[in-house]
Amino acid sequence: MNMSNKTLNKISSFFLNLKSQPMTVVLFLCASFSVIILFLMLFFVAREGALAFSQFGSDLFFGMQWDLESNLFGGFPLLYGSLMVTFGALIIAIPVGVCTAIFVSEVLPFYLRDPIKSIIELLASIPSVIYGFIGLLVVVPFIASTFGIVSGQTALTSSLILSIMTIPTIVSVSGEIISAVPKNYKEAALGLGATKWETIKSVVLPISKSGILASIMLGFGRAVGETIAVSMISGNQAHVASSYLDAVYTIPSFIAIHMGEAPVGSVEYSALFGLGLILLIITFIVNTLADIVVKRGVQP
Amino acid sequence: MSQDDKIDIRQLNIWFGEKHVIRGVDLKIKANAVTAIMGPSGCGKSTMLRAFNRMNDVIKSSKTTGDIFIGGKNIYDNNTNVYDLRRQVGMVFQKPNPLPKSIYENVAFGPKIHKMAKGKDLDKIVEKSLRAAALWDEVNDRLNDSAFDLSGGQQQRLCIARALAVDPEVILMDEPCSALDPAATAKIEQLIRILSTDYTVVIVTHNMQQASRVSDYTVFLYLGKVIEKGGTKAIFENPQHELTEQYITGEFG
Repeated sequence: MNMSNKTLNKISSFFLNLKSQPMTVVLFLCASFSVIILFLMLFFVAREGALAFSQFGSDLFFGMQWDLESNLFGGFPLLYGSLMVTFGALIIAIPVGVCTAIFVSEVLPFYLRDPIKSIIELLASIPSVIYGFIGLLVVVPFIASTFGIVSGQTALTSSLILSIMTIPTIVSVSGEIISAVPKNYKEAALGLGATKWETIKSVVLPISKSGILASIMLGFGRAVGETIAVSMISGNQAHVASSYLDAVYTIPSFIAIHMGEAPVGSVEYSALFGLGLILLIITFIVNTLADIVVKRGVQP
Repeated sequence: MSQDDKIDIRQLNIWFGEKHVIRGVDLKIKANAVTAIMGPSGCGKSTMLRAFNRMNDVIKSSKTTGDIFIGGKNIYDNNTNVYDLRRQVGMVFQKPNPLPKSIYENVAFGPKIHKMAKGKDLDKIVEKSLRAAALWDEVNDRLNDSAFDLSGGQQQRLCIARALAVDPEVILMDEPCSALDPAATAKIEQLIRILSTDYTVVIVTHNMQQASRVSDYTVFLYLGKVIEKGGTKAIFENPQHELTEQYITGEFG
């Protein structure tokens, strides 16, 4: 009896495995898809940029001048401009976004939560060209008159507009994470006589911090890659800006504006791809750093 | 041991939205004793327990009428400070729910938010509470480890220590062993017996054996009403009401 049971089990598990095998293959293929796409993108951008990298090497990162006639392809001012604008945007978007997320998912009365959330998410779906218009129409003159400068097309202007574009991402992703904190953990603090704020500080935020960080990463990706809106309001001057009231040029705007004029296969063409690769590398580094922080943060 | 009434419930009614969960309960709960509230699932025992520290306030749709006096003070009075009330009336939940902090910080959390102690004094409170919860010997060399590293039973005793740290008068336990194995359950039950010398303990359970093992008094709740109450021994050996007898003999539950 025992013996035959065992054999039966073996046979049935064998067939079960066989049955689940095709599904495993399908799932594996689906999972590999995005990984393959990522590597293909890296590969093509690197292949097109290889010419420029072989000729100018680290100059693409650190060279100060971009001048076709003198055959100079220095990307530093652009890299600097991109990082400056993104940093400025996050400085504004992180506190505002996270606070909004806490407010919407913990403080606001229940019947208002969903409507307010949808309105904030609507902000994320506005085409970036429109943000560029608003920037030109409202923020540029405002910055010019507030600081008494000739042109309001500055790094600060771009950071402001970018922060508005980034906030919805941070709010909706962090908001979901914060709402998902299990009730029994909140009750632990409340049951000890903690106020709502003490509960948020000691339970809700520590539990959701890795999710909040992920939302910030998504926001970073949006800000660092934004092209059109920024190119309309940043002034587009390839120099190392001395302050946030200076005009800047970011990598994406620079690529977008120059790609059309660069003959395919030329050095300039390749250098623009090189810049794109730099952008990719930055996002990879930032994402990896965030991953490490998240993993370290899992253990409270 | 004083046998005075610690909690005095008068005409308690609780609704969740349209649902009338607690229906006119009058009940007195003795000080420094263990009172078990038992009854089938959905009879309102947890809801009643959560009325004692006003945790139902957290649920938006809840509505409570009637009065509950704890130590002579009406906790449903308008000028009751709920944060202070929850310090006096501690709670241990069904599933162990340590805060995402270290073992030390979990116990120190309450005293800190109520600004009861700092530094060395706080250390003393933490040690005392962990000893009282019979956990000190197991964790004294790793107080800074995450509370999530503890086993389920240890986590639940940590939650008890955490409740004790703010020097409560009443401890509410909402099926504290339902997520634990028999060995961990035995430890908690032993602890409950010891705690009753210094604290008024109210425990909700649908485990009748547990009620008979740990409690001095038993209340049988059914569909939001108190069907029978009295000494645990009397209720289990000689139930007066037909429903109680059916429940105890396992005819429903």
